[in-house]
Amino acid sequence: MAGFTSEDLLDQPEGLASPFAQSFLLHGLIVGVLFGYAYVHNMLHGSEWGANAFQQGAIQATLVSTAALPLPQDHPPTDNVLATETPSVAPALEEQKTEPLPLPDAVPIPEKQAPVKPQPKPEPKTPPQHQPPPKPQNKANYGEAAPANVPRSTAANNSANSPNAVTGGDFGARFGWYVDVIKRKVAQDWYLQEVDPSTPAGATVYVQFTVGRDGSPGTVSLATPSSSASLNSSCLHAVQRVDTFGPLPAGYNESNLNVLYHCTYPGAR
Amino acid sequence: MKAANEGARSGYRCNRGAFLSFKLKKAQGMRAFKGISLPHSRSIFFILLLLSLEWQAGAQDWVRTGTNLGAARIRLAAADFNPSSGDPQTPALKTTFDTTLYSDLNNAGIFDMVSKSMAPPVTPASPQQMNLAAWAAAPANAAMVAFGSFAVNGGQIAVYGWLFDAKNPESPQILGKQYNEAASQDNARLIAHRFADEIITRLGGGIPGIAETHIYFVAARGGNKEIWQMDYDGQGQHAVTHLGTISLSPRVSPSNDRIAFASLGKQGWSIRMFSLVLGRPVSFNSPVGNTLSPAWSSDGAKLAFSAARNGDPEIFTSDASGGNLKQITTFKGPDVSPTWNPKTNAQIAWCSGRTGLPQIYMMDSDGTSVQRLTDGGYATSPSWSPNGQFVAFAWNRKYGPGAPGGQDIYIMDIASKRWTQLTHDEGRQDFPSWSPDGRHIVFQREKGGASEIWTMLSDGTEQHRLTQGGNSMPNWSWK
Repeated sequence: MAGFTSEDLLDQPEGLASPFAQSFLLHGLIVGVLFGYAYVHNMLHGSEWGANAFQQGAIQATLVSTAALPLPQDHPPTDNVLATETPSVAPALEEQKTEPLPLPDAVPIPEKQAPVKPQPKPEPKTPPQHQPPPKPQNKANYGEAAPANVPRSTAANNSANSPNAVTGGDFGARFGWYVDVIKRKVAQDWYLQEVDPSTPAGATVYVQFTVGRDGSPGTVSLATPSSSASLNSSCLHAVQRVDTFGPLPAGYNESNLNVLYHCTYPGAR
Repeated sequence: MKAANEGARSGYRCNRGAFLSFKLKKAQGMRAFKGISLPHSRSIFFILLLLSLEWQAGAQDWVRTGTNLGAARIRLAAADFNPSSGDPQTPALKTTFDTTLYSDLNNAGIFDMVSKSMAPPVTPASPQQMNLAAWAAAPANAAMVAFGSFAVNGGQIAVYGWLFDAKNPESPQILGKQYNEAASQDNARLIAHRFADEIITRLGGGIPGIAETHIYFVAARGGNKEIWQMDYDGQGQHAVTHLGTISLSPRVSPSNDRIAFASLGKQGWSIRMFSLVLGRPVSFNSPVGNTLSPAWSSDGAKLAFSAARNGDPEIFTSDASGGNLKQITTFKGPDVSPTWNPKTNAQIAWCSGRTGLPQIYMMDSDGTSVQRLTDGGYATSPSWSPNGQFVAFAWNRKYGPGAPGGQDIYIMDIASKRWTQLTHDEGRQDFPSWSPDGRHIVFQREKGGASEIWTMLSDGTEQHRLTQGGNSMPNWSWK
């Protein structure tokens, strides 16, 4: 013991660096082993979480709709509409907040008063009124007519052998009086006031029609129109106004009579 | 006209030429027909048949005529009929016949009658005795001649009448008629009316004459106002009703067998019906309240009238017995005097006082499409013309104290609303009524305190009086 004393032992510097390094190394190794194990384990079994590894390879068929299938349903509907397999989450109760009491010496801040808009006075409801009927048109659109076109003079035919019309066939020769009737009746119904006054005097339109056995005119048409549309239409109207010329003469045996009638405008008066 | 005639003649030659050429071709075809085989002959025959049919279809005659100066009246001579019997009644009856025939033709409004003084002195009894050249020459210048023979044999009138075209010696006859009736003045007039109507129908373009029509009117000759009847020329006036009260507004039915009129009774004014066949009143279900101014539709199925069921006169329609009542106006103010459009029975013109003074309005027969026709003055008593073209009415255009003019008869063209004044400065006219031929209007004229029935042509000419002694409200029969 002479060589080592307690002081010598205590005074001798202890080497701590090596143990510390080994400790760190050991701990680091442990941590590394733990992480390494976890990593390796995760790599091997990570995809098996919650999965049924034994069902792999089975065929799954999902019905899009079962309504059209006449098959019993797996889950018959329950009559109770409130019963459900997936109850909804009850709504959270609203947290009750307590208003902090105002300090005893607190002066209340006057709230800003919004200007009050004057409310429109509700109008008293009036009973539904009858819509007045439209004012009747008490204005007559009328006026004095031009002097009537009434025959007041005679047109004597002095030569005994000149009928007023010469005909295709011998109708005019045998029944000149009937030709006169046709001429007169259409002339009476020809209204000169229908003709445009700018129509030149002497303008002539030829109208063609037939007279049936009962005397009624038919198939009225323009044979040769004049240059004045109003003269054309007035002559057509004149024939159309005639209801009948009277029955065709008994001595005429055909079914009807063809007439070519001309209206010659005498000029504006 | 000359040019037209020449043109027409050339057309005639053309037609004849075509006809001759066709005959020639037909003959050639027949010659060729003999030498050809059967199938060919069938086809040629078929073609010929077609040609023949075509020729037949175009066989109607052609007439070329026209106008440029309006319509002239027909120059017509009515010769005195030749007395062809020695019966002592003959002269008197023949005079009645001749006078009536001339008067009827003169009244027709479509003839320029040859004065008897201008007629040749001979009175032809038959076509063989007729010298047309004498009638066609001056001074008669007749275009047509009516003549014949008049005989009384064994209490029977025998009349042979002819109408000849004096300008057409080759084929002069237009009409030939024979009449036999018991010898009496009335029958002499009746035969003359019938012969005149035949002539008017033939030369007037198919519109029947009015010589056999009647006029119904109100006469106050016995203290009461009764319905009377007369011929269209004022002859044969006699009372129809004898009710001993006041009867107004007679309207004869289109079938001429009933008269509807307004009559004053214990319940006020009501429509009453009188049968001309039975000669007594017949039932009519007149509405409650004052009911006035009946009007027949032209088919005789309906009546329109004015009834004041609630105090305000409105227009109603009903059937001929008064059933099926329908109110068609609801205007404030009186609505009276309806008249149907006889052409269609689809419209009614009437007199309304909704704006004060009465005016003429027009509406559809169900009360729609109301139009006002007059605009001012005082317009009453509308009457629709038989062809539906005109409404005649009484109108005081400048109504008021001291206003010029008086109440006159006017007609208005419904299509153009143009009116024409027919009477001038001859007292106060009212109640126009159209004749069935549309060429005449009968009306009431008040002049010098007396009210009488007058007639005129529908252009206002040839006015003459028909009655004497307080008569009013005429209505012309339908036929």
